[in-house]
Amino acid sequence: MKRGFSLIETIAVIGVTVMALIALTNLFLIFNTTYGYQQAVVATAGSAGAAMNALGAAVLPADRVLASRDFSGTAYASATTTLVLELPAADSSGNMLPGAYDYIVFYLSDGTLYRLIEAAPGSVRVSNTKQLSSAIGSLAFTYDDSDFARITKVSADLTTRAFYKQQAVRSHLTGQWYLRNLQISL
Amino acid sequence: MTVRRGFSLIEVMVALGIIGVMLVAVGVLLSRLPVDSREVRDQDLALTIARSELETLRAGGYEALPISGPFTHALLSELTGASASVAIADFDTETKQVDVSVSWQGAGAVPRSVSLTTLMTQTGGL
Repeated sequence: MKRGFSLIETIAVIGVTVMALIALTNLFLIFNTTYGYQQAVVATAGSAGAAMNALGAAVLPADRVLASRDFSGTAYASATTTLVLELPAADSSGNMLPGAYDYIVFYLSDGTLYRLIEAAPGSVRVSNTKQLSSAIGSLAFTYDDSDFARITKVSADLTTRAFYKQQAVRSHLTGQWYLRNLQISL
Repeated sequence: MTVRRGFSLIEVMVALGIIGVMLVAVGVLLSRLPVDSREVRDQDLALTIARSELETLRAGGYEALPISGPFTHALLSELTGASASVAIADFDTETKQVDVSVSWQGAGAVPRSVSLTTLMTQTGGL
């Protein structure tokens, strides 16, 4: 004998199912919010940290800050949001290449921070352009001397920003680096 | 005889219980995510502060090393209940050991700290 479900059974099953669905939907919404927010956090904190690391990695081995330089047709001048560096070049075995220099410029364009490397022939560094952060809120390079030839220290103040559902996520980092390969006589 | 049975109440309860436990576990995991990312951010900030202080001390050189004590940094205000200090000790007659540490309150007011150590000699620059 085959019976169907009674009304009570059906209502109970529907009730349980609805509750399970509500719980699952809630979980999905929370997951979505958390994921979106975390993405914004990663975009700000992560890219601020990455930009700072890249800056440190370039400033520390530099031997001087250049006032300006022409990078294959585009001139960059060191200022508040642009930093042009000259670094002694070395080959892949770690031997210095006498008289050869790599040039690196950090510049801001439309809220995006880029690093452009122009490596000397034979240098271990590779010529390329890399996007460091696309969420720059503010960036300020400061130098310990107004005369570029006498700069020994570069400081950077960086704020990155991202939005998630009108909620701003921001990250603020500062850094200071002394030029380790400084050649000038002060 | 073909009697078709549904699930017994016990089976349904067990299944619902397991699903419930899974949901709670995922929920707890999700609630930990922002806390953990905050901890990572704080630790990164603290390291940035410690590195910056070491860089300043190195640039000043052996002769200009301060006495042990607290120091300030613009980023300290971004950490909760943060304090920073530097400890200088004699490593040998011509070398000093420099410890820089940053402490703050992590999630749930748990005390956290990072420290960096370096040696500085009387001769030699950065």
